[in-house]
Amino acid sequence: MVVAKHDARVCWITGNYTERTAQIERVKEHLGKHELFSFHEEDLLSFVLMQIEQFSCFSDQRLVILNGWPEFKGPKKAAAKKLISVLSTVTSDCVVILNNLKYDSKDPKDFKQPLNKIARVYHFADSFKFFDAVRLVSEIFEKKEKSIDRDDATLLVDSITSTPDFGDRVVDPDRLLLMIREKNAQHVSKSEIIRDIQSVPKLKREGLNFHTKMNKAVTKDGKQQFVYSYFAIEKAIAPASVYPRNRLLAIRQALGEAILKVRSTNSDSQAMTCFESVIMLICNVWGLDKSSFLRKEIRYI
Amino acid sequence: MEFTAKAKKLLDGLFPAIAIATKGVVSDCPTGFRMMLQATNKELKATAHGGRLASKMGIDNHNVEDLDYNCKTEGSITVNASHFADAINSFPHAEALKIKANKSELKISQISKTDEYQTMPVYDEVVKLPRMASDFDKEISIRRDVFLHGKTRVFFAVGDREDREQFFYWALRTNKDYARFIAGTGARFAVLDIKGKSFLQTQGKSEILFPKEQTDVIISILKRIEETDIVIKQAKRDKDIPDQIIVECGDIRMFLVAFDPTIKYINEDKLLDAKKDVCLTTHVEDWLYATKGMTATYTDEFKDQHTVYPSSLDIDLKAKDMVLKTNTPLKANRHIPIRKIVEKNGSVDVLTLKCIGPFLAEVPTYSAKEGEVEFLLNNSSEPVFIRHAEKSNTMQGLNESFISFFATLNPDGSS
Repeated sequence: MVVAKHDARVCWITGNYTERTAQIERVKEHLGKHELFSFHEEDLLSFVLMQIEQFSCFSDQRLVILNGWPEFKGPKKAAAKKLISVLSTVTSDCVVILNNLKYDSKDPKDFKQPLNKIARVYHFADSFKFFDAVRLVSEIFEKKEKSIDRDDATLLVDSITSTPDFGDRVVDPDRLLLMIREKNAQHVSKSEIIRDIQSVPKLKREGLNFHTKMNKAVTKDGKQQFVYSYFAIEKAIAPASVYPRNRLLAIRQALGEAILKVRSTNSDSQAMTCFESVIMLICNVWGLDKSSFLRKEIRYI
Repeated sequence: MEFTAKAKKLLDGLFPAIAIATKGVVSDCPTGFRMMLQATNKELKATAHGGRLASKMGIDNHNVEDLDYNCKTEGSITVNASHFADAINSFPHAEALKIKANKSELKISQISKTDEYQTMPVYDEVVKLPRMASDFDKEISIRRDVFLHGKTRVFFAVGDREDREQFFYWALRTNKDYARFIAGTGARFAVLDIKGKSFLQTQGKSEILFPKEQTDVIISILKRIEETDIVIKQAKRDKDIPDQIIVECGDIRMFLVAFDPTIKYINEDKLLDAKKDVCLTTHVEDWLYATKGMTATYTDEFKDQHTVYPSSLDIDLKAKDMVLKTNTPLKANRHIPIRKIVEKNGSVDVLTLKCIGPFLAEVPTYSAKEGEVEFLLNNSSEPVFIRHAEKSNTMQGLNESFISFFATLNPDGSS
């Protein structure tokens, strides 16, 4: 759903990642040269509001993106009130994007209604119904001047459909849109993937610290060495068919965050909790939201 | 490796290497906190590399008075620099020490009492300097006192947010007989211009950016060197050699590496040179108590709950008066008389500026105790420029001008 106000300086965008990101890019493109301020959960609300209200020294346009509710000591209702109050007076040199900011309240007067009055609102779907998804696949292929018959589109959508306890089968829009992009790309067979990975050369570190150079490793008889054998790749590819892509990305993200946390803590129990969270994620017991504590404290890089 | 030297003099002589090894160190840098000592018959060399700042230096009986350096066995070892400094510091300053190392440990003992000693492990790793460039496209030679003064005046303004990396740097810009020091956060900047003869040599226009984290280490080393000039040069980019800035002063040569050479600093000239409609002259003395009053309303309780301290400045040109106000639970209402007004088009009578209070508190802090402070502005949404009062003749024979400018807040906003 899109509620457009041509003079609005605030955009409220919710829903699936792909369409949200595309919409943000459109705003950036529309603004042209601008100064970008991007805020997350760890930023303080008062600081964020000050940034919205502070004119720029250098740029004619500012773009402020809130990627989550900034930290606020107090009830969320009060935070929402402060935010709405500042957003109501956004100056003509500034555009504020509320990127997937959600507010659960029974009373729409707290956030939704006042925001609808001052913002351009873009609510993209969080999930598609099965047949809507099939239709979307056909439409996207058509736009790209490629053809897909209905059976193939149905098969594609079916592969990523989940069935809730009650109601219709639904499709995750991000997975669907990602998959369409992949299918549109050049088809690569498993054997071709294995061949490509096999050709990655093994590197040898020479020198220390800033003088370090990575050279191709060779055997005693001068033959070039490679990092992966056929069997190693075959084994490594197996999880790709077990985990969906977003799950693999989630595991990768959690691993990266856990490593940072483990390296920056002296507490064995905290380190063990980090490892446990990654294992739970791999075993499909936890979602990425459960491991969010990994990214809540200071990052060291 | 074995040598003898006097405790305090050894520590003083090795200060640059110890400082580089222990301060402003890049996290996870493998040579961080380590220092390599090389004892030779001629001198004692020390090498340190904190990831972004590196140096190799040599001390002997000529460049460190009363060092009494005597090398018994040549050799080199790597130790933890701060452990080494603490161990040396634990002996009476005038005491002669014997420093002896084998492959596993370094032993520091008093020559007069051999059973009084400190030991520490040694590392296998060698501390190496970055490969030095031979081709430099920027080179500035500047009087050491001017460089230290310039950095001191503007460094308070340097940025602190990681997502705005360019403001983690401060800039030295030079041209013939002219140097500009500039630092800022993106919302507030401090600019010091110094003009005069014979304090600077530069090849036309030049700009060098210094990273915030390593600045204090460089300055602490430069302060202890009794040399007139500093040479700063930046290497031409070359894929085989790390990007580097070299700071040379006397016998010390420091390498700044691992910075982002593609960072572009702001072009403030566009703002500074732009016409301003209104110029108000005030006295710095009038700001002192007014800003103290403003700061008094930012109580500890208020600071606990807020990260932003807003204030407003009501300017009445007809009445030649400014009122500095805060509206926290505690309130301030303080008058600052306007001594002189120069107005270009005469269309403005009253103006309210909303801004971050601490920016105004900097007026008396970074001005001379007496003198005129000029406010230059156009309207309530464009940056405000403050030309601070200057002490007369701070830098002999040179003219300096210190300006700060900051972005204002939306006057209709809720801050």
